[in-house]
Amino acid sequence: MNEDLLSLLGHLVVQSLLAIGGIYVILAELQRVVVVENGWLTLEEFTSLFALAQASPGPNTLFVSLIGWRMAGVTGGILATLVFVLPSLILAGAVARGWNRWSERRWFVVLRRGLVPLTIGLMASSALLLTVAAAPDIATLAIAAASFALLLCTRAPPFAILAAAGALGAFGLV
Amino acid sequence: MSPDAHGSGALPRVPLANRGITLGGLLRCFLVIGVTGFGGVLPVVVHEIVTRRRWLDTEEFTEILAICQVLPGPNIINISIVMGMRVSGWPGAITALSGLLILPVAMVLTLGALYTGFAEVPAVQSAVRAVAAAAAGLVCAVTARLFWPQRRNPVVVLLGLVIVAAVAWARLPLVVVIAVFAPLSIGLTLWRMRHHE
Repeated sequence: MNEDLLSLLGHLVVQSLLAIGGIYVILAELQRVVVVENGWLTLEEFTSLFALAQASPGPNTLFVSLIGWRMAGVTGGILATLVFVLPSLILAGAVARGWNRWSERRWFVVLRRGLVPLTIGLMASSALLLTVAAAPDIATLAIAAASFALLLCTRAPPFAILAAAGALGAFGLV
Repeated sequence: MSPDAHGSGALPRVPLANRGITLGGLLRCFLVIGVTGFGGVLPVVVHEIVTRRRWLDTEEFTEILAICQVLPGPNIINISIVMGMRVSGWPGAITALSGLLILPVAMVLTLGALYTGFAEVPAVQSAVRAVAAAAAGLVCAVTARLFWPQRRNPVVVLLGLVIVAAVAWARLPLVVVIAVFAPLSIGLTLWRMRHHE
């Protein structure tokens, strides 16, 4: 295994522990390590891999898989993915193991319910920021509003709604 | 045995391990979430776990999301681990996590090279733009759905507004927002529980 990949994997373990809330939090730091400090990827490669991860189905940890892949092929991609999710598996696994045992304990009920206002606030913030970024004109705003209504008022699966929007876009209606 | 019947926090809920969820079911559920989750996986997670399979009610889901939000790592990764673990221990956690990751990772690593040139085609670009707008609409819908059961909780309404201002307007980094508002959120909830019980 090459040394660059080993070094990347080391960084990923640490970054994974810092990524509270998701991968966006560590994007700047990843860029510093991968592009500026070590020159493993050019800025263009970094940006296009991120766009690719965004356009693909699945969680956006795929970005990390793609960085590993570009540096060391399929093995690199798989190792980067595993190393990045391992800390989550251990931590979230340990919390969930306690969950059934603690579920009716008062401190755990307080913790769970106490974090709900924070969670709703963070969800609302990302909903707002995403909408502002993705729906700058009437056509895209109409699509966002239609998707909102379809998800709340019908049992249409999210994938069908996204596919319908994609078809509208592909035929040049947006 | 409907989990919805136990939605109120006062009643003991049926443990997740006793809701008839099998390892195979867990795997199928997270495989679907993995391949159909474009532009934010959360709407798909809510659709598959709450709406379609009724493994959790909305409030139970919000509590799981709340814990996953403060743990390191992407929320959806943590949700898969917590769900799997609570359903059937480590085998469940590993099943759910693998189900979530295996198809997207396999797709992106085999098709990655093709995909890069594809993104330059104008029809693809406008399709991506439309999908991004729809995805934003879906995230708004899920937010509304998670908020609805909490609408009469003043802590959620007020703190929610302050957090939106802190994140979307003042653009504070997420780690700072969590460090400041998690203790506040827990403290105010504790205070409200004391005055209501």
